Amino acid sequence: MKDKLEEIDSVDGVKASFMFFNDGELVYNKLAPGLDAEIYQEIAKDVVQMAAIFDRLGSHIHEYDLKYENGRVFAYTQNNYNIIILCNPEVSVAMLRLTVNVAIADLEADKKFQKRTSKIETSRRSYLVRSNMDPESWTLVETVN
Amino acid sequence: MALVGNLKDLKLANIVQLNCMEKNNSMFTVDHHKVNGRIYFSDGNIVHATYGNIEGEEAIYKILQIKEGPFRVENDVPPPKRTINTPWSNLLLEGLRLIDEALEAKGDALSKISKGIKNINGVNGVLICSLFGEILMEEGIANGKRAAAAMAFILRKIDKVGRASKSGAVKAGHISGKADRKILTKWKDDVVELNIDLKANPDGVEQALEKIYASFQ
Repeated sequence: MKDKLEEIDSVDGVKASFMFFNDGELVYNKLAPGLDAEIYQEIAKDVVQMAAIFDRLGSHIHEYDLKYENGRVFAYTQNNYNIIILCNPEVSVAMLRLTVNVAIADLEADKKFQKRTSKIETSRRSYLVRSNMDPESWTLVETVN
Repeated sequence: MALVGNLKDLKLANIVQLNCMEKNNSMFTVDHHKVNGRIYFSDGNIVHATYGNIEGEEAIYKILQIKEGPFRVENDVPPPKRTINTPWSNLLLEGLRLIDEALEAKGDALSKISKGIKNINGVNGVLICSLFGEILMEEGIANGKRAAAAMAFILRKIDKVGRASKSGAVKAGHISGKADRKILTKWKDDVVELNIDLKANPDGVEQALEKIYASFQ
């Protein structure tokens, strides 16, 4: 897994990447400047919640390309795990997509990885609970439900 | 005992009326988008108000615009100072007039924006809603109410990811699935969702959208 993240980290404009399994495990090689593992967890949980909301709408989203004033965040959401990539605004997007697609294909063909993900029983939906969010967000979730 | 509730259930105009007519010496507080608003009532009038760093009548007009948020009214709280001398009924009338004026201007802008968006190649549907999921404009979007709540939720999360990753303010989110492609952006304080054709170039659509926003700066 870490070797795949290394390949992603080597793309021009990528600051750091990490993988988050829906059962809570976080895998990364390095931390982006000013961030720590706790922030990675926080970002990952927000991404899983976004994916869970789209699940509720019956819309199966796999790529989030989030553009900000000082950066860009890509998130790839799979059934049981997520790859999140923190980038500079000028990241090489075509190269990044290619690298991620190859990494996902390799991971999913890997027996050890298949075994790891098949054990995960935590659904994305379980992240959409009242205790995981502010009251305003919870009101929105209730409307979607 | 304090009165607590949410402004979506009890209108502020009614709270003001009640406190003034009963000549309560009380303090109303509300939290809205992490900004605190306060109104002090004394001897049948509003005597002081604050909204963040703003105080006086201007603060009242800001607070009157809040449609939703947890509030609290505590009795026997003296005002720290007096910044308002206008009768409460005049304040309410002026506040409501300003809200109407702002809504009219916003409605005008929204209708021009939606007209512009519909002319962008590759756009199949548009939804504009508040960050609380209230629909302001929709066209070509199924399940409008649920979609609005979902998009408001997603934009809040995108904002949060931007803050956590130290990436700054959100510009746009391109969201893609096998059968869906969306662009989510913020216009002023509202959420704009565009459903775009799978074959459309999302960067081109985003640029066209930015041009439309720029014409309203």
